[in-house]
Amino acid sequence: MEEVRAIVKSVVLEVARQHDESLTAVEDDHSLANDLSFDSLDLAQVAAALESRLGLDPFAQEAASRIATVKDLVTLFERAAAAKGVSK
Amino acid sequence: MGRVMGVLVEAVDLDLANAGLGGLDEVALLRLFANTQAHALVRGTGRTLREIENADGTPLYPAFYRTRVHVPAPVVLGSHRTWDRIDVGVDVRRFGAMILESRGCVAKAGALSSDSSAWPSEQVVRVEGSLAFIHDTPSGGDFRVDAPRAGTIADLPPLAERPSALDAQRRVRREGVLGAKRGKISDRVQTRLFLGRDLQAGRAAMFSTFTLLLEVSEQTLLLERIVPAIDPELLSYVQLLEREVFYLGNVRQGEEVAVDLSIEASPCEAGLAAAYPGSVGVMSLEVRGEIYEAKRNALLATSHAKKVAVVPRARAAAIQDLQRFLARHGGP
Repeated sequence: MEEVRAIVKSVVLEVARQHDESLTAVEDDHSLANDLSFDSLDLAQVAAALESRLGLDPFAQEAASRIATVKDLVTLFERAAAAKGVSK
Repeated sequence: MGRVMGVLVEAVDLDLANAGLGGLDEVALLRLFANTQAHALVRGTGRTLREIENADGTPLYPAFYRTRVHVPAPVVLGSHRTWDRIDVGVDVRRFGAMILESRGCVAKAGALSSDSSAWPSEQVVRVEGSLAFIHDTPSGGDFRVDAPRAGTIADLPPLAERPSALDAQRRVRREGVLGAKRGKISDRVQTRLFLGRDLQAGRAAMFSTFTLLLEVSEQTLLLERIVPAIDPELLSYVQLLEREVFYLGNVRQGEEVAVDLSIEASPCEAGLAAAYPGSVGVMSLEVRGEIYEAKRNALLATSHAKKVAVVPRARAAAIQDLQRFLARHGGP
């Protein structure tokens, strides 16, 4: 699960750096919209990148409107990984 | 050949409802493309576009954030005339669960097969669309984008690469398309949005409305804002070559939009001038536009279009009129 968390945070950082190149890390309590300046297409890019990296598409089961922070995303993908039996 | 998910070719009759009295125009083309795309998105699900929903059951719809129309010379959009039957082909792919890229092709009936890789790349009208699924109603969250619940859309093939339109959209949102340098013909045209012509009661404007607003504003600029103005008859010789629009916001009934336009007229390059049989390509137009919600000055859409004025050789007076227009208003 640690690896899922690390991958989610690295993908979020990758997209967030498109707005602010000086960012070096994202924190669990960062608000995607307010702290990282995410717009809707940014969230969609993160979902696409994570589907490709982890083979998981949790948004088919959970509405994106419930996602506000980095932690929300991490939890969503950790839960999807556990449900699918992904150990990494 | 079996059904390829995401690819759909429909035979469409151009009639009074979609082509008016003359023939295909850019707005009608965009709507036909979006219609076939809508059918491709839900094919095999037993649903309509209106019945796509997210995991919570909230309705979603695919919203364009970019369209690109390409009409390569010597093709003329209006050559597809009212009462003609045409093929409209669309190939939709997904990037993740929320983003779509589609490409479309319009050709004479029977010209397009269900194998989209065999669609002609020249001599036909082509359309590209970049979209995201968004909430039809406010969801209460920070983001309007969402993923359709399984089974509410067709099983679309994934894109091999991240769409380049995502970066282009970000660049356009940051920089616009006009920049500091305006063409010799430039101005702001302000207009109110009208029920019926521009939108329907209680609804935001449909994506193709922005092309309509751009066209109306461009004609207003050429017919009313410059001296000497262009002869209205000459506008009928102007043909679209390509236009890319980015959609960044929307408007509703009663709001006003301000369209900032910059038009650069130049002599038609030799290759393009000779491409239209029996006609003379006199003038190229490069038209850049930014549409704002007038009160907030919020950028709603950008457009970059290339056009050409093509006149039948027999219309010598019109050719000379256009040359005179070019001499007066041409140049960067």
